[in-house]
Amino acid sequence: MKNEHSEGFFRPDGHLTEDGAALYVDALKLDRTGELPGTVLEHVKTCETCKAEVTGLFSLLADEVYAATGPHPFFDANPHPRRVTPPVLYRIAAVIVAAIGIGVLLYTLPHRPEVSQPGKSSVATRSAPDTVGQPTEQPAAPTKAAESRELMAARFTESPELEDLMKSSLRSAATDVQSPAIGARVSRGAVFRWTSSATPPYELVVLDNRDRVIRTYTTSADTLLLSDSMQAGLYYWKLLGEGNLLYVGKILMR
Amino acid sequence: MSGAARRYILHMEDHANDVDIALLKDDPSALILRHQVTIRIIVKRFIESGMFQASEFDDVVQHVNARLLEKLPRIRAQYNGLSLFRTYISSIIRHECLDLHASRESDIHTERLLADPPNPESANPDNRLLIEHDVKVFRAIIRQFHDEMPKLLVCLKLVYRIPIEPKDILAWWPGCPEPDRSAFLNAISEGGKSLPARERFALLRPIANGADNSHSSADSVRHWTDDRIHVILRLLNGSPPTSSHTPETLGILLEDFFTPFLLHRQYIPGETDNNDTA
Repeated sequence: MKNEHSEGFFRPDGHLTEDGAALYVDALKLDRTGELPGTVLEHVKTCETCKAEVTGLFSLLADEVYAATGPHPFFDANPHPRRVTPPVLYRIAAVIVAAIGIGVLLYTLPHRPEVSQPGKSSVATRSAPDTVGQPTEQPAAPTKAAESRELMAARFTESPELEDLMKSSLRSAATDVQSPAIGARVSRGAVFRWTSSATPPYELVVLDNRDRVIRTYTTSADTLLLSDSMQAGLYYWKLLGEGNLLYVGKILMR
Repeated sequence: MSGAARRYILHMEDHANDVDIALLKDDPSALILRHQVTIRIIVKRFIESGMFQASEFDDVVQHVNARLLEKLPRIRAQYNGLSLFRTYISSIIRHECLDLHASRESDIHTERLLADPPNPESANPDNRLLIEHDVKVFRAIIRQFHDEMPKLLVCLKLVYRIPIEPKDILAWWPGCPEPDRSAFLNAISEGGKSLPARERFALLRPIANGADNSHSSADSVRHWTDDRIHVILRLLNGSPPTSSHTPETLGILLEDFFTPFLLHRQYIPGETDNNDTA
């Protein structure tokens, strides 16, 4: 039972904070209730409100496996500085690698006078025939590359119909879209945000540049997180509410 | 996502919580994306409990996403990093679902669920999963009674006429004199089980007073136990209610607690943390 660190686990009204309830659930999941702060254990023992909070959260996570979570930030915390954070380790490693690299460079320089010859770039040196064993880049077959470029270009070609629709829909004053901007480059995780006088629920439809529906989302909120990945290309999106088209926008998927 | 954050993640694949914390700092939107599975699992649980309709799944998920995006600054400010972020965000997601449910007042689904209580003896695989889930929740509830747990378990055994063993008494009162222990165990095993609850608690009284260093009446210990049975039932059923456990189904869960037949795990008196891989 730990008696330190308990101050962050209670709200002003005396009940557990979300952190406190979460820590208790961690303890239940990891079989480490005995390591909870004494104040937390004693409070939950007698408080049905907090028992309900802990039980409700545990109930949602009861069937989840808590593997590969790494050291627990509370139960595995060292009383001394917790741990050297990876970025610091990386910096140390980088310094060591740089030192070795400089050493190797200094050692090899006298044997490779051509490197220091004026007019010879490092790129030229790298592609010189004496670099035996180094992987060399093979240029792709021109036809395949051209095909690939064409296919890629086709995915970014504008749709005249949807462009017209988009321009006309912008005249609608009832819906204001804050994000994404027209033609914005987005990726998975992009946030669509709007305000509209239309009554929810809204339907957000994502179409490719050939007017094919790729995704349809329904939401009562005025924000939507694009949680799916899509192939790179030009996409249009429609916002519908109360059966009406509220907005048409376009995005470039990276 | 910044290059530094990406490199950090690549090296921390086995430390999911560190990845969460790095993303919370550097790329909160990516953090929400990362927890889409958690959001979906929790929303699915609420649908299973009857609080939302299955057809509302995407809508509820997006509602939660929207609320999390709004709350990101607050989450960054308030998360103190002492619990696993996964558990912490689950708590926030849960509250968002509860708030949404409360605002919709969709009690119809709950009523339907209550009218059709799960049958613990059913062989239906879905019900089986529900039972296993309830067993885990019940065990988690019992453990929240902390140092009251040994007393509670003895009293629950007495109520549900489950054989009490010497180790149960010793877990509650390690210094219990052997004559007192034997006297009680003999009395309860020799016809004591058929006695009414009040008389069974009268047999327990000397042990209870010795263990708690008190002078309580038998009724007082019985009321203490009844009170906890009601608490356990309320916790099992949830608020708003999503299950319909009764004192009878609680008895089944309790029997399983001592002699597991629903899940593999043995209660060992005196141990507060068992190897119950939840």
